Amino acid sequence: MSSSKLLWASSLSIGIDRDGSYYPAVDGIDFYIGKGEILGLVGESGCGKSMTALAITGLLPDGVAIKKGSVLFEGENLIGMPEKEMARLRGRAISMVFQEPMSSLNPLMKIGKQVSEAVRLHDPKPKREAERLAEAVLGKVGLQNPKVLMQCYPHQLSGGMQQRVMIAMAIISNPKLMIADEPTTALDVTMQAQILDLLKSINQEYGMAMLFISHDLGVVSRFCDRMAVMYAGKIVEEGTVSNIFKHPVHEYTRGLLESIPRADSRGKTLASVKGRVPNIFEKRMPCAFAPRCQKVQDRCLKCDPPNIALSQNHTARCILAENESEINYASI
Amino acid sequence: MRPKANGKLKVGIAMTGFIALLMIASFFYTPYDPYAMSMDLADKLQLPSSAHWLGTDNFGRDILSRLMAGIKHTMLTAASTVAISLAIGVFLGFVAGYIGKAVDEAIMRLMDAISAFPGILLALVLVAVLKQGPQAIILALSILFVPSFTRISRGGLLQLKSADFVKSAEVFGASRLRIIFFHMLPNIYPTLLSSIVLGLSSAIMSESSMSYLGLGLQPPIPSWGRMLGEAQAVLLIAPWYAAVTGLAIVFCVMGLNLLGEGIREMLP
Amino acid sequence: MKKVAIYAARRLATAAFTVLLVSLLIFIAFNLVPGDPVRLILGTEASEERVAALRALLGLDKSLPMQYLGWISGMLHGDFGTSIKYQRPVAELIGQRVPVTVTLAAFSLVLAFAFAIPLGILSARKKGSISDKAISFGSMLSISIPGFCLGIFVIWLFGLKLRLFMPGGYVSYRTNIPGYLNYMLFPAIVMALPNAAVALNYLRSSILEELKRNYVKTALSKGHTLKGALYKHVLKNAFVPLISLVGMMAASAFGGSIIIEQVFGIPGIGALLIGAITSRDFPMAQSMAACISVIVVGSNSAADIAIQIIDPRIKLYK
Repeated sequence: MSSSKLLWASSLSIGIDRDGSYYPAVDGIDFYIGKGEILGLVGESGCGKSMTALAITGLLPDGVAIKKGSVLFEGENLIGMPEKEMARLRGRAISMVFQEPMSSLNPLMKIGKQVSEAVRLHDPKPKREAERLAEAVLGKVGLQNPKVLMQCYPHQLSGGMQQRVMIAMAIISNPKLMIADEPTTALDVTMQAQILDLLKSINQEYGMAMLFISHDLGVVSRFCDRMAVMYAGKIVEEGTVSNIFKHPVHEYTRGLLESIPRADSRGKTLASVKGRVPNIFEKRMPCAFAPRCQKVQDRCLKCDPPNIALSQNHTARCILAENESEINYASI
Repeated sequence: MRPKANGKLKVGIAMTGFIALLMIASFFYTPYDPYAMSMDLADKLQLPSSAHWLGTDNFGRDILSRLMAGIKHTMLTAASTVAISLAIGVFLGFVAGYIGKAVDEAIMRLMDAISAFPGILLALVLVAVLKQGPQAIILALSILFVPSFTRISRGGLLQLKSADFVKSAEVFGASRLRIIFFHMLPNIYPTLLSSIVLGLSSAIMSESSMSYLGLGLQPPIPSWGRMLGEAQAVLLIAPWYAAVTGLAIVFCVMGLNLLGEGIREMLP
Repeated sequence: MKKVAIYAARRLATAAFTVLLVSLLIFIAFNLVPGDPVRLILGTEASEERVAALRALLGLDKSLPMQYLGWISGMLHGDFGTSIKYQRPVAELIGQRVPVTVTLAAFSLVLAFAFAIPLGILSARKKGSISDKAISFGSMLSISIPGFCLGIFVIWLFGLKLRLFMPGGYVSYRTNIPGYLNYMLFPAIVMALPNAAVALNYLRSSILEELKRNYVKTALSKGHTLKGALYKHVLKNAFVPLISLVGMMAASAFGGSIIIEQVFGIPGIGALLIGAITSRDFPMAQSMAACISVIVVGSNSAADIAIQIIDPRIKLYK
């Protein structure tokens, strides 16, 4: 089993030390991504999804640090890896695509140079060869006239084209894992669908595993194999997409599911989870979701919720899940 | 959150305070008469000693006394400069910001033209056409500093024009003047304060430069710039004269710069 | 490219307007002189014929607007008037000294960037460290020293103590170019330091600002180390706002040279101007003031236009 795991994070905690106190942004999470698998990391903003992604690649912003835990990538711990080694891994073995393609591209560098640089950083090819490869990959991600595009500056491209360029840079060195942090959030709906199709085809063609971060459960349901729902720095529910969608256990997951717009709900007001995510400087209840939970009980305010395995491919961190054992997913 | 006093502010206050104390002291006491020359060759260009802490100049005058007496002339010039340019600048800035449109455009283009000018050149031109002396310097430097105060007060006003408390004052029928003086001025006061202090330091720099060129304060007024000019002539035989005078200027300017920056860093 | 041309035309038009306004101000200033300028120049005992002759020579017998127009159109044709002191065309006198002042200003700009760029990068990279604090103290110090103060210190240290040059012993570029450059190095250093301090602080905050941008994260995710991302991606972006500073620095270098030439005894434009002012040579002072402002306004506009050409994403519609 473990040999099929590409990335394996265990009890990963990330936080901020300020004025002598420690504030957790990510609080002891465990998850894994199998080879060639797409894992969706879901939750509202401020739940710690992006911090998790940045921690994996060692790109946490100043002041935010990994408190404890490990992230094994092909058996090698990424936490505490020297900057130089980490840099060698980034782009070559693990690549990233970010939310805002416009600001994520260097405004003063031609597209061609930005893409071919992604190769040349790891593979000292001659410039010409890297450029030829860059051109080919730009075509691969569905961009017309790659030759012309190579000479363009980012501001001359549309948002969708810019995101394709970002994806081209992320796949050009054929990494084993791509981390995509809300890659379609800044795009309009049609463009969103096209980019998702592109990512899916990359996943299938190259067998590239993906960590797909999104706040949109609808997108995750169509795109991911497995998913982990994060709330206030903890993973509250985790499992295969089909298991969770058939039988969501955690109240937070249920709330998120109800807020997905569906064809049959057109015209009706969308349900949404009332309240807001506590910011990381606020004090939390043992179950951080308790203040927003409709089924909150006295116990929830007193002791930490246990992580309960509902099946081989489904766990939930909720006291109420104790009553949910032995689910027969097939019957639902 | 209350703004915390920073290091720059503390050091700036200490340095400026020291200069201010020396200035106040100079009204009542200087070690020697700063104007008393001596014909005796032995009194000229003496090294620092217990009698003359900072030595004597080429006319046998006590340098410490002259430096002390010089503060008030420098400060008076600088303070008048800043006061005049502040009054004109704030007025123009408010007029430009409040009336807007063509008036605003005209005033701001004029300000651009003034600031396009190297400061020293404007001062030289004005000194050339006016009688030499403190008035010419003050006028020249005031004109130079007007644009920065105009921009600050105009910017502050435009920002505040849309602020709720100003709108509510307008609703309650407060007159324009009342709004400006009782509501807007106090709000841009911190920014202005830092510019005033930085203006003082740059006025001192400009005044001493002009006096050094012989176009500023006229002898026998003990102006630091002029003293340094005299010291340059005897640099080879009396380097300490230039050293202490130069250090006095730098100390004073740096104190004010630190103070001004300190105030600016305290702003939210 | 077409957009840039339109912008450039517009920017130059504004510059021309500013210069016109400045020339008017200069003209007004010089004609507000209390008393009769001719009497001021010649003294009260001069004969009526001499007064009338000088009045005609200066064009003071015409109305003020005509005088202004005459002066402006003359300047446009390269006729800057005649110096009273030297009895020679002002254009010729300025022409002789322009190379000196331009070398000095250019030299000081080059030095300013030679100090500012490495130190700015260092203090941004080591933000908060001892070297950052030392650099910040040094730059605070160098903007707190008036140019002439620093000049005298440099004369004492490098001239009198270390004997690296002969204070007051200006060497003309016509006779000895290495000697000339050697002499000019020290005043150029003096002029460079305050500019370097300003540029350094600007560059430091510009780099720190750029480092927060998303494209840096992208560069790192591609496999750059922080240092690599800084040199390959951040610096070019961080330099862009610095270009507009070049115009201001050139202006301040020209202004500064007026005093520094005096301190080091260099026969440049500044020395000529101060001579014109102290000897009340108004026609020369007036034309020189106008010339210097053209240089200053010109370098500012050139910098603005250069930014448009270098930075492809800048908005051109403002």
